Amino acid sequence: MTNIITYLKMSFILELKKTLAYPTSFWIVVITIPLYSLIQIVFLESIYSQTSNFVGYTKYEAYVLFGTFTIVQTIGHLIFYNRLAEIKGLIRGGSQESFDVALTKPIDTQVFATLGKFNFGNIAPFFIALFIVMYGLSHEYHFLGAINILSYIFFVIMGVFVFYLTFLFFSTFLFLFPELQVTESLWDSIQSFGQYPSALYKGSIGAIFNLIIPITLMASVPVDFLLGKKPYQMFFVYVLVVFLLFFLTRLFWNKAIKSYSSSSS
Amino acid sequence: MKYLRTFLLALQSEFISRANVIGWFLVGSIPSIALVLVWFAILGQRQSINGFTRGDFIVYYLFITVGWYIVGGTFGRTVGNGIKNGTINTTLIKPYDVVLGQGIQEQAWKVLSIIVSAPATFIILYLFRSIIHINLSIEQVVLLIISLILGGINFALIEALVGISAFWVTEIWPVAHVNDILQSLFGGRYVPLALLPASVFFLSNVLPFKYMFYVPVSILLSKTSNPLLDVGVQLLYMFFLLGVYKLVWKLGIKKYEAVGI
Repeated sequence: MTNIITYLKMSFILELKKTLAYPTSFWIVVITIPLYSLIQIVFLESIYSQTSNFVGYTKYEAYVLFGTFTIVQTIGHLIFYNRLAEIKGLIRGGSQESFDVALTKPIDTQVFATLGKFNFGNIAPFFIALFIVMYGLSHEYHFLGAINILSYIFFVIMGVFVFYLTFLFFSTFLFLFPELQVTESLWDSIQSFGQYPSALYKGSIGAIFNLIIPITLMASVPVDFLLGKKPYQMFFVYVLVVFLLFFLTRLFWNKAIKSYSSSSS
Repeated sequence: MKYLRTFLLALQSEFISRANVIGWFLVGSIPSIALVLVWFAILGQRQSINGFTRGDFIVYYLFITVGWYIVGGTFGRTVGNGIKNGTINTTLIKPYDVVLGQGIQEQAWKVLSIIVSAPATFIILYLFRSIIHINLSIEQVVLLIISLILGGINFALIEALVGISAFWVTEIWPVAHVNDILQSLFGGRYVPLALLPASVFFLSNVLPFKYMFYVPVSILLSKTSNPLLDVGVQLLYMFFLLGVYKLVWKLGIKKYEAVGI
């Protein structure tokens, strides 16, 4: 455990130094990523020009939903994305280091191969997303008790965890099929389901996105708890689902790395 | 002939990893499925929104997904990376247009993707046949085909401009990202332009992004009052973009330092 903390601490310092030394990438992310919010805001305006209630969400509640999704995305990209996106290079041997290095390090392989790179450019979009949430909340009255706010924060953290686990799940397939080029884009596409209210998905699609791959934890579930739309019994169900997902992803990872045949030999 | 060889070679290499083509089709389909679900939820008990029925939404987003293999593409990034790391150097001294070559090479995965997506397209059209109503006259079919070709050329010219922006910028992905956003918003890839707020709709009529995907799909769905005018504007944009591309290429080549030699 001490090794892991030291590794993450040193990685954080190193990445901060890199960002200060080569700030271009930082500024590119700061400028371009928030532009995506523009599309979503236009989309929300288009939706609510046709209806006042979209699967149980008013316009300003939808703003809170979109802001929350962006918060989860920006935290996920800030902490996890850059390293997880390197897995394909590690496995195929295209990047500077190969997965062989990860196997020989004196810390957990999954921690070394999936954590330790930070994209600080996401800090700016994070604050824009926070502003969108505040904007949505300020335009409609909602009783926000301490339990609502704490549940919201807790499920935002869980949403970020789901971001990590789902990306890891898709990336793990690369051990079995190293030539697959679509894992990251497929994960990215599936995530798009997460930005809409969970009530949009009914029947078997609902079971998939709300429970099996709980993508709706990235926005809808935290907002539903914040606005008191979900019964509190569901709190434990979602926690159980995330831990189950964690357990299965870990199991899959441990099984899949056995298929790794060193890229350099 | 040399470009035909380029295409055939690219087609052969696409066959090596065929599973990726299926994967890319899924990647393209998923956001469209989500958007169809969203519009269906908004429709509720209503028959239509601004003239768009359930069937229209299905055809619209099916076209956005499958039409990507006719109109769309991503070769700008390949051109940009070639300029950045110097791999275009060898082609610059040959009687071969590197940007055109990349554009033609890209048609390989697009052809394969059309073949892969065809069964899914027919299944969708069959399953929703009771709510999909497409009635096109011969004239409209001809205009649709011309519009698809012009849309593809306009898209390729903008993609080429994105690629050769690498003569000036070190990182091409932000330029490509901004282009994607503009296309999604003003080109109707995200929301049918007729359903956008008035100010965005006005801007989309002025900008070139509408003349890639939206004009063909609006002809297909008979949502345009003057398809001939739309195709005419597409043609004008093609000449305009071609002129801009040639000018930017000339300026870029003068500046190019041929990294890697």
